[in-house]
Amino acid sequence: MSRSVRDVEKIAEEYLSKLSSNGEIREIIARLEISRREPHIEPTCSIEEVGRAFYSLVDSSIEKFSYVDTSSLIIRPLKEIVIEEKDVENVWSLAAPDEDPHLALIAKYGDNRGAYVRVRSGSKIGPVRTCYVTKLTGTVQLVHNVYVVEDDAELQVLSTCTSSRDALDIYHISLTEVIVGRNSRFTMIMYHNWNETTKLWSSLRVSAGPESRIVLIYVTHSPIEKAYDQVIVRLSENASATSSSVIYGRRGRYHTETTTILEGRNASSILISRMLSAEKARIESVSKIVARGEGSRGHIECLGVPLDDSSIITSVPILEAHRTDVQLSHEAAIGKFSEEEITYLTTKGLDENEAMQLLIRGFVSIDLEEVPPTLRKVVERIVDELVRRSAV
Amino acid sequence: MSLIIEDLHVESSGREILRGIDLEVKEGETHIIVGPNGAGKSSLLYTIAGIPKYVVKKGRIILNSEDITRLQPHERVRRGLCLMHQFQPQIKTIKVSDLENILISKFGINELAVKAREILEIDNLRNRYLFTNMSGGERKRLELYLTLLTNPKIVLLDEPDSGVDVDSLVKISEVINLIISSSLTCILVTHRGDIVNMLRKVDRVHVMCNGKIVESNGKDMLDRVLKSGFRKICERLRDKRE
Repeated sequence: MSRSVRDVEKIAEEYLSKLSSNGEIREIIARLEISRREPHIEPTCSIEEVGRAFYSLVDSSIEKFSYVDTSSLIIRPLKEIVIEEKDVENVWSLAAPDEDPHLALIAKYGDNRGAYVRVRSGSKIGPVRTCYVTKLTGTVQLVHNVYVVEDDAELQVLSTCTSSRDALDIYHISLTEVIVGRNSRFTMIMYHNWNETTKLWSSLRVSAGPESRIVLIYVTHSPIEKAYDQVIVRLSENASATSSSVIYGRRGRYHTETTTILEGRNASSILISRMLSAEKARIESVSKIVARGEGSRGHIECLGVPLDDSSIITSVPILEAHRTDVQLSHEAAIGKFSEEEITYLTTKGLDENEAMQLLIRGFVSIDLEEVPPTLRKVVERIVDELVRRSAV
Repeated sequence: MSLIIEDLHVESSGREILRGIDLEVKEGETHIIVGPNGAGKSSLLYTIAGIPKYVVKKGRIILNSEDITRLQPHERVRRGLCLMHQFQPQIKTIKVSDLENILISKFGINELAVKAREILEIDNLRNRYLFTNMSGGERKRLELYLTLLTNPKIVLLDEPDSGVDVDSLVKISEVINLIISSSLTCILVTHRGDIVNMLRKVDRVHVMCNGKIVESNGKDMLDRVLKSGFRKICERLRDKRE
């Protein structure tokens, strides 16, 4: 499905012209047109994560980029790859610019801001860190990343997104395409920590080659105005994926859609979602497994705990079988922690607040057995922060 | 550490379940409470432990001269009083090791718990989720260990012998004997005499019927009661009331 950059921009432009009645998209385009005429002054990014990242995008400017071009790894700005038309076959290979207005915005206005990472066959790389920061009010941050993991290789990625407290009315719109080869492994941890005036639209597309292993972990715990997170993973023969998402929603609207498509024989996936809601948050989580491959297997586990009566959790597990020899199952439950559990813990010396925190920690803890130790520490730190914030 | 209960009247779900309990357990003593189903044995322990469902309408619970009747459960544990539950909730999200670590950080490591961990074979359970998919014996062994991790001075044991296999019963009674020989104060509720006969020392046996202690005596009384059943004693109480 690879297209030339000219094609992509043209398709996006035509598609966007048909959406003139969409107020939000019109508003974003107006802002992008202004920022083209009046480029932002590059701000200084001070958060700790940027210092460690190989790539950081602050508002619409690349703050830092560490070039790598070795026999095992290539890291370059996507823009350069596109201009040179080198290794370009994977760009826009998993998404189409006329599929969604946000993708069209990335194609037309994104200027290919993002990273191109390629791990050579037989190499193991990680963790590489990316960081997306917004510091200016009214920013529309468009991101497009492409990760390629060749056969018998491994890539670990930690992606952090954050906005400064003073930056108001922000859009972060991103597309990440991941192409994983045969017998390879891809682990990605996505951590979102925005402020409550941020509007997020993010899509992660993964194509998993035969015998490959995909581990995705997504955590968000900050108030947000509106978040839409989409993950689509296509799995070839004997490939497997585990996607775990933890959302602690406070105020704002959160919508996540995770889909795995078991295309190959014996492909398998497990989708786990844990949701905690409070302070009028609305969380909608759609988890879907489509089983097309012979003997493919999938399981969905969606659990939600409302921490107060003002918030709403909607959980939708969808199983779609295209054959008779597939095995699909799901488990979904929403409800508060039981009095019996809290009382039991208080009779072992924990006060009610400590008991609640322990239950919340257990609820949101993700199985980290497959996560490399350095990334494991990061996730544990994020979970600690989530538990601290959820203290009642 | 001593425990005195004075004229304790308790309601649960609007029903009176304890009707004037008086009990004194001196430091280092082991008391056994027996009685038919529904007599109020477990309710008495839950009330002493401070479980909110059990509402004290009258009377007092005195721990080492301090009135603890209105204290929260965790405050009682921090004063050295801990309950081993008869039934434990399955908590599918908390690992045994997580709670173990918290209790150790809160109460420190105590020698008795270290010994109990070995005898009760807890290491095999540490990576599992609390009481989830465990056999009756595993649950009781774990619950006894977690109780001891709070470094208690008074241990309330609610039917530690029910629903366990013989091997687990031997291990559990071995640990209870350690509790007794460590001079901790102990109140044990049981349906049967088996475990009592395995204990090193019993100072007093109490028979409960219909929310009251109707008879208190030495260990010999237990054999007599278990042979003849509780009916006679309980009927005597009813006749007296009538």
